[in-house]
Amino acid sequence: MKSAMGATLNSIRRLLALSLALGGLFPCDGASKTIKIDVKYRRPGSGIGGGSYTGLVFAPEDDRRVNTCAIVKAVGALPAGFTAIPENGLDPKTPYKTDYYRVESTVLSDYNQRNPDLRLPPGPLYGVTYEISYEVKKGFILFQVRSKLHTSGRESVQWHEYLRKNDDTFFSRKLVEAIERQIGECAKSR
Amino acid sequence: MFRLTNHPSLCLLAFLPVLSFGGCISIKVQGTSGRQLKKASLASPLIRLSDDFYPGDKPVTTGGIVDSLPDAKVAALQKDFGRVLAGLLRVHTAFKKFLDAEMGVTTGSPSGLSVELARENQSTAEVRTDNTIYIDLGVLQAFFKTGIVDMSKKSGFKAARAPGDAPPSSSDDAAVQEFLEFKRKLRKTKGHTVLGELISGGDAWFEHVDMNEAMNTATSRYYGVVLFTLAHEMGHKSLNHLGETCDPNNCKGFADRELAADRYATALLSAAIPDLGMFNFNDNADQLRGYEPFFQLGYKLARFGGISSCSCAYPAPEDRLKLARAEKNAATERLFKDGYIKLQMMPAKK
Repeated sequence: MKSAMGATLNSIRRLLALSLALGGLFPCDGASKTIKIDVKYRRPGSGIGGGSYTGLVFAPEDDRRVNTCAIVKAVGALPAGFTAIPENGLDPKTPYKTDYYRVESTVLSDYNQRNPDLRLPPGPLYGVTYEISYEVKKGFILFQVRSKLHTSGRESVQWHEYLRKNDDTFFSRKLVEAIERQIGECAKSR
Repeated sequence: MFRLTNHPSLCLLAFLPVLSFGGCISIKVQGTSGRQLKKASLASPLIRLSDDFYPGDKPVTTGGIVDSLPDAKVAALQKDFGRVLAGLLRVHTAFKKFLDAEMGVTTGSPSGLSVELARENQSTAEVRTDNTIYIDLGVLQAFFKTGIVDMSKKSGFKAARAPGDAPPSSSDDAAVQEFLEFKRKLRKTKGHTVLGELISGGDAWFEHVDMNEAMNTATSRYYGVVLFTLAHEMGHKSLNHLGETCDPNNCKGFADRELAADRYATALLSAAIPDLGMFNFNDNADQLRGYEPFFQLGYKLARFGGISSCSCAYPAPEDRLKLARAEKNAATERLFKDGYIKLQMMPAKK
């Protein structure tokens, strides 16, 4: 019994050591950071004199339409899509997940240039999934985006989460900027 | 050597107790003293606003310090505006029947409106579909300037610029500069009690009367512009304009709504501050109705460009002023005719 116990303990120790070693090679980063952005807007109004306001203007009944339009167009431009999307548009304060966006070589080069210490080695394919939500507050819309990097072999159809340390805000920032670009057009369109 | 006869006022003072006790003279010390006038002038909203927009009475810079105004100050200003708006809402309730008749429609209740001072750095003074009247701090600063600039064009604040000081480059900045000089002088000029004035002699009391009058005149212009702006926005809500979208293909509809809001504002303020004709001893009442200082000065100082965000043009300020004057006359006539204003002759003394 003693020797069986000892063998089990040794196995556990070996497993632990192996995990630590592997962890050293592939350090786990934990949860990725959420990128937030406030986009100012105002409601339509009637004034006493003309001003030269050029910002975002839309009525409360257009909240869902405008924000859905901005997010869907920004994600579609990646190109990527949503795994599931409600018929009447995205609900506020609800995180929505996208499917995989395959990172192009130009974006990969840009990433590596900005992150020389966290370079993504060439060879494998890289894909990103996003989790996006929006909330309409008084005077501004809060968009929150989180991204997760995945990798896959060129001949493989399976994506695996990329476990090495990486810049987990790079891809989120790109999407947030794209949403900000789209929202003005979406507010104007009917 | 000190001679009592060299100081006539002291002579009188020395004898006063004797004469009073003798029952020969009873002295009542009454009236507004220089000290009280000074206190009233320093408590004026224009003085308080100038402390906020130009702290330390520093030389004028274009734009003032709108962006760096602390949140606590903005909150305090906003509270003032809230009180003014609450007063106007009560006037609407009290004069609803009159307003319905004057506007030719059943006016809706503008209750539920609130006011917010915004830091949008835009020429914003508007009511939005969230039931809030937004006034940009830059526009508020322009309203403050309206009171000052109007005074400067008329009698000025009679304060001398310090020798060697170069005049500011633009006329409204020059007016503010002169006002800040006036403020310094106001603080320096001694304010005595009534008895103190008797003792000290001099012209300090007269100076305070003049300064107090100047402050009241400038304040009436400032409040007039504020009242008219709030009343105009209330008009949009009351006349149900918020439910209509501005259509660039129907700019006539847009212009008609603006003129209707002007008429509503004038009618409301005519009820609140009636024109009593020859009994109107106070010229400032006219200014408090707001359309005069607003369209003559405030509109330009606030940099209202004349084009709305939906590309329709606002009616020209001079046309709006003409309409407001006509509306004031029509509203006053109705107020008299329908018995809202009654002039009572003083009964003859028996």
